[in-house]
Amino acid sequence: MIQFVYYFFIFLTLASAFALLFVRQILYAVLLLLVVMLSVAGLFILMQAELSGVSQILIYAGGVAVLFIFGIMLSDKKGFSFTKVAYTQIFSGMGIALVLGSLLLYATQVVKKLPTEVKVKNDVQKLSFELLSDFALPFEVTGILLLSIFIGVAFIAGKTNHTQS
Amino acid sequence: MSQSFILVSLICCLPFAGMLMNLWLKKYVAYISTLVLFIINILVFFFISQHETQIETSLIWFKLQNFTIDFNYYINQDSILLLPVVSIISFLVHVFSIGYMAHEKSLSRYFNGLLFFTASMLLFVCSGNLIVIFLAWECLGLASYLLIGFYREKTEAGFASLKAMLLNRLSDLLLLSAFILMFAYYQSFNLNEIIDSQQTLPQLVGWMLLLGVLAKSAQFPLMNWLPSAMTGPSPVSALIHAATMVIAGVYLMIRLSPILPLSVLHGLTTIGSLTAFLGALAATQQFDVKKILAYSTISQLGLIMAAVGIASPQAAILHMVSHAFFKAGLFLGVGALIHYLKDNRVNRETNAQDIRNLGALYKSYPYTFYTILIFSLALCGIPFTSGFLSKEYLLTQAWNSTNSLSIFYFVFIILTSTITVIYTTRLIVYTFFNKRKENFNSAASEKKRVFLFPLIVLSIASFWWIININPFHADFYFFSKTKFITPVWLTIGSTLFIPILFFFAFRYFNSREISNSPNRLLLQGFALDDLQQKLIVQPTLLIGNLLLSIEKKWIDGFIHAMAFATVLFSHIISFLDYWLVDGFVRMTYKASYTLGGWVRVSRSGYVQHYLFWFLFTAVLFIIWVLF
Amino acid sequence: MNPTYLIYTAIVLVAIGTALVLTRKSLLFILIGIELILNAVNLNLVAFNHLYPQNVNGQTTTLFIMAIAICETACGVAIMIQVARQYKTITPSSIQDLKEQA
Repeated sequence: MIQFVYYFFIFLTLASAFALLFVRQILYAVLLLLVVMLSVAGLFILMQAELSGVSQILIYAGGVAVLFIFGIMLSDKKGFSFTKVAYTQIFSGMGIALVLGSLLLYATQVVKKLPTEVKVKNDVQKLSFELLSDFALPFEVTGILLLSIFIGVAFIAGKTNHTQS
Repeated sequence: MSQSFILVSLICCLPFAGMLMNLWLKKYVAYISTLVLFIINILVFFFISQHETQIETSLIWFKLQNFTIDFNYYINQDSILLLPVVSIISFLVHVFSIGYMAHEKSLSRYFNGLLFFTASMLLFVCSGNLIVIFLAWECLGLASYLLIGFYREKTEAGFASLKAMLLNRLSDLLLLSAFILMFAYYQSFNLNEIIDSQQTLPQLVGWMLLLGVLAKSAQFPLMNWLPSAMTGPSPVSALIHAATMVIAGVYLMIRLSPILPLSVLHGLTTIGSLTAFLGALAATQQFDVKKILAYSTISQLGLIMAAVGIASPQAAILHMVSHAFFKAGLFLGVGALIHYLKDNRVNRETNAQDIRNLGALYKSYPYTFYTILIFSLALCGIPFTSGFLSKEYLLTQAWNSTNSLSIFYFVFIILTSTITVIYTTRLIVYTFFNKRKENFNSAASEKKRVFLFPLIVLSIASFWWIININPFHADFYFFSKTKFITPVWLTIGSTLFIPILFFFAFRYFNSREISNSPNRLLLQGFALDDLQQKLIVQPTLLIGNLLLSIEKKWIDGFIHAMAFATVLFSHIISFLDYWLVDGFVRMTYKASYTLGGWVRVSRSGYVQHYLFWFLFTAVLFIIWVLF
Repeated sequence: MNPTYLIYTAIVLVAIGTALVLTRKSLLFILIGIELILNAVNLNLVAFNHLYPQNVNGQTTTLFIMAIAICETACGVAIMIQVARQYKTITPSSIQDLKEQA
């Protein structure tokens, strides 16, 4: 059963990500992204990384998706219809993506064989110890980064264009 | 600085003040000029009355290291005599010009020319420095040139002025060289010092001086500019080409006569006598009234020049003075006559100066006639005129002189005087007597009083009393009383001979028509024009053409070759510059441009293209890591 | 539950994200592509952490990456709004200001 859920999430991730390539409407793209995020969160939980999975749901589903939708509303809205997004440099872009992907897949085959099945205990406690001891400084720096980014974003987004008025 | 020095300077500079005033009072040019001349006359008489003949003062003109050139005056008896003559005649000519030039345009040019001339002449008469003398001499030439060519719309006036200028240049060249050699000889330009040194000039310099004054004094080989100069206005002819400027050369010789070598004096006598004779001969065949007078002037100047040659400058000065008055009078009278006749022509084509068109005019123009008659008689040397006395003086000096050429000169005076009587009678008869020609309206009158005043003054000055109170004794008032005795037979002979000759000549000319077939040689003044053309102009042109061809062939050729070589060289340099230096630069920039172009292809400006290249590089990196 | 599949999934996500970033004519799609790539990285880290559970560095890094990803997205959206105001479009292929002026 759990095996099935695992493959289902993988399939969901890949399918919605693949659909992203072909979808024309930005809003659908955001919804598909949301699906990808949630299924990745599911995969995290299945991989015994519950904290990351919950954070994934909170941050991506709650933050990034809303941010994107606000971005759409503030930038691309024309009346009540949304513009359809066209393609550019299809062959070179797709080609380089294909090459990159195949190279990375090839790389996984070159390195030594990975173990297929591992028994791991769920250890959130150890993670929090790590965060507040070894990773205390990056943690604080990240906090400062977040604060400054929020102020900066508010400043950038709030700036009205004087040349236009 | 003495009073006399200032006075003489004032006399010489006043005409320039007049010229300046003429600049901004253009309407009254004639009156201002005349007034200036009047003031000059007063000053001259004031100066003469002081009897100061030696002016010691001199100004330092400029310094050349240790050598100083002074500006000084050299006043002697000759200058004292000539000064009033110049100023009086100039004044009278100005007065005459008020009437004569009344209807002309460019009056200021005319009167400024006259003033300029007067200033130059006064300076020339007074100056005691060879440089200033030469300067004044050239100014005289310039004034003469400007005034001969006054009627600039006439072609012949232009040619005549040019002829006068060029002929004068020819001998001025010699005069300048003579002055320079004199400086080399005496180490001074100061006339006082030169005369006082008592050293006789070297032969060469003397002859150069003699040749140098020939043209200005219209002597034999270079005399033909003077008849041509008669194209100028009549008052100009009277002032410049009869009374004053033409005696400048003789005057210079008189000033320098104490230091002239004997051979030069002989040369003067020979040339003077020859000129006198030939001029008189040419005058007998002329038809133009003014040309008759011009040749007459040449002839009289010859007599004066010759008098200097027999070491009798006093005789020369005396004849110079008397000649100046009556010849100026003749020119003015003839000028007045022409002026009247021109207004009364029946046919506008008639030439009023040609005596073939004139005749029996004495009733129409009585005043002009009588004054011209008096001047003519003075020219002939009829007793009771100034001409009689001055010629008597000449003859006496020639007779008494111990000079070896004096007898030759004596004969030439008599010959010239005889011919003078003949041409003068011819002029008078064919102008005022003989048959009447219907060329001019008879109802003419002498309206212009302004003409009469100078004529009457000059005719008064043509009588014996300006020379001596005794009409048969030629001792001049102003000469230092030497023992002067004329042989009695000479006085009686000339007293009888000239009137009788005059009478017969009058009868002869009055009884017949004017001869219309003159001697061509004499009419053209001995073909001096052709002679000068052949001897001077053509060789000069030949040399000039030769030099021109040399210049064109060799000098220009050399320059052209140089220019060609330079251009060729520059072309080579420019080729090298273009293809090597510039080529290198161009190659550099083109290479960088092309390279940049290649690199720039990726720089499209689109974010996604940059991203593409970034990923392309990442892929390359992965490939490098993997393989 | 073989974590190796997760690694393959992450690789496919990276390729798809790259393709999105390069080919779509909208800044939003570019941001979405970047999110996909970051997610792929997270997935990768979690998978390896699952394979080697001796320490929890993978999960810790995942948390930091999420924090930085949200920052990046916020910045991106803000810039996008500003671009939309400035150029009246969010299509990167109609904005060519990086090229030298012709």
